[in-house]
Amino acid sequence: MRLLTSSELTASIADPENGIFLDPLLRSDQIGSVSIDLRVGYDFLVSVLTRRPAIELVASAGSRKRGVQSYFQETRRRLGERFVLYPHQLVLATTVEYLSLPENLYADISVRSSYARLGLGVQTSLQPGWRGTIPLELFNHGNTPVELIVGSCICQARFFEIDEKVQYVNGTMERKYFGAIRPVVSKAERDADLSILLKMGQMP
Amino acid sequence: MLLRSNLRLLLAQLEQLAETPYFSTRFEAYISELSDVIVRLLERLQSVDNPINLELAATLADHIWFLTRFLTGSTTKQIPYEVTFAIERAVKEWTDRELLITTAILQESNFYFMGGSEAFFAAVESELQIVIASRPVQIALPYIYRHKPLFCVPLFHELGHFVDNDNKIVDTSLLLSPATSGPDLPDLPTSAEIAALPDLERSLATAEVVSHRQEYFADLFSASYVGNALSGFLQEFCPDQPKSDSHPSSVSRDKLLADFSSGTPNPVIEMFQEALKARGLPELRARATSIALEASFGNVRPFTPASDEELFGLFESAWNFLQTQWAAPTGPWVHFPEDDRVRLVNDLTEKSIRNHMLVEGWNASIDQQ
Repeated sequence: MRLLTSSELTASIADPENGIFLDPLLRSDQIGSVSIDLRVGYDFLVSVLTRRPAIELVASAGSRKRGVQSYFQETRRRLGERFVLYPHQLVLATTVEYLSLPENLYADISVRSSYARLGLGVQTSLQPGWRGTIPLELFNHGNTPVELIVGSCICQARFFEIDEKVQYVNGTMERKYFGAIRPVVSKAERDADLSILLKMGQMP
Repeated sequence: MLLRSNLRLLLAQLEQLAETPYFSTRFEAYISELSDVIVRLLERLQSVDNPINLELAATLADHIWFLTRFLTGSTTKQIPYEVTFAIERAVKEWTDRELLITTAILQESNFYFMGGSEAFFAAVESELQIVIASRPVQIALPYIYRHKPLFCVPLFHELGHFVDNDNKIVDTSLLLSPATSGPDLPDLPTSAEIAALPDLERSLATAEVVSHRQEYFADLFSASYVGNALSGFLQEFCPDQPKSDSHPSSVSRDKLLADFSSGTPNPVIEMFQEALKARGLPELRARATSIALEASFGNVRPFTPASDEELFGLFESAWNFLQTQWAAPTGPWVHFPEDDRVRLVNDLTEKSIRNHMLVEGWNASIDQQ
């Protein structure tokens, strides 16, 4: 696995048919020496407190399960507007940029240092063949609300070339978040393992 | 008692809305003007020297209530800004006036347009000396379609009604081509038959002709921007509708749109072109460029429109792409279930429009620096 450098990133973006497709790239200087800066998008799912004690992925006996979506509130902004991230609050967002990765590139997304110092945390990885805006699970680790300007570069992507090509979408596995252009709540409840584990838990 | 109470409640609601961060500062100005109208109305209702007619005050209050309903929808932060952007871009060609598109999101399978009453704005100006600069274009769409731009194409038809009302296009067509001599409309009595009717029946038949002309114009207007996307959507949304007093049959509407699309001469289209010319308005013609989406959508990537023609063309091209992938998916689309295909094509359309908005806004902002 090899980390792509500035000239390789520029060349790859210039050949979106075979390389990285990133749209819109509003400034060419978003491409750094070994990473590309990415902008926080305009759609948000803000976690809210409900009367339920916990988000359930599987209904407990005798209870009615609430969808994960009901623990989040949808809101939209335009670029240049402000969005306040409160301490210890989870907000699902995406990047402004839509990313399409070729079958031999893997990407790591992390918060930019300037925003990490404000208490912001972001950590995502994307498999080769990914399509969509990049999901950002924003979390304020500090104890002071942080005001984000929608569209600002809060995170960065590093791209790694792998030797083998990988088919991300091949019909053998459900791709829950493929092609998403706005934040999507967790679909962990669809994990096939859960029903097996529950049965295991009920065994004497 | 109730009138004053309603006005104070509406004022409180407008004040609450004014505290929401709006998508557009024009909304703030509009809300401020409506609030001024209420304050002035309340003053006049309590004035001894210069009281306002109670009936007029009640009518104005009702209209403010009606306008507020659409403002409330516009501030939910859930409206389809992308479709609104395309609609704003389309309407610019038809009016120089400052328009404000406000949206109501409905829990029903319905689309409609409601204009603000000119009589209201005139009364506010003459009676209360308040000039409201913007004119609202109020549109309503189903909540479940707020992220389905291809299912929102009926809004272009509704916009056609606004443009017609605003420019008196059907009215002009009646002056140039009365129902008693104008081109015969399918489903309706011929102009000669209408001319031969007694007064009352002739007036009823003329009313029906007016309604059908309004629908035909709105259809042709929408086809100028979204091509066959509207007729394709309507064939699924409300298929095989028979003729009614207010609407032509689906068959007749499809036939007219097919003639428009293929450039086949049609006296109804020519009638509208003459009316538009007489009003000094643009002609009905395709504003959209057809886009080959195989390289972008086919590879599950958005398409970035480079012009307004491509922006409008996206609706028809994406609709056709969806039809193809629904019937016989190709490439990576073979791996997506039906629901995902519908979601992805709509999302790619929304993102394509949004990227166009972003790049345009970014460049405009740089130019201002």
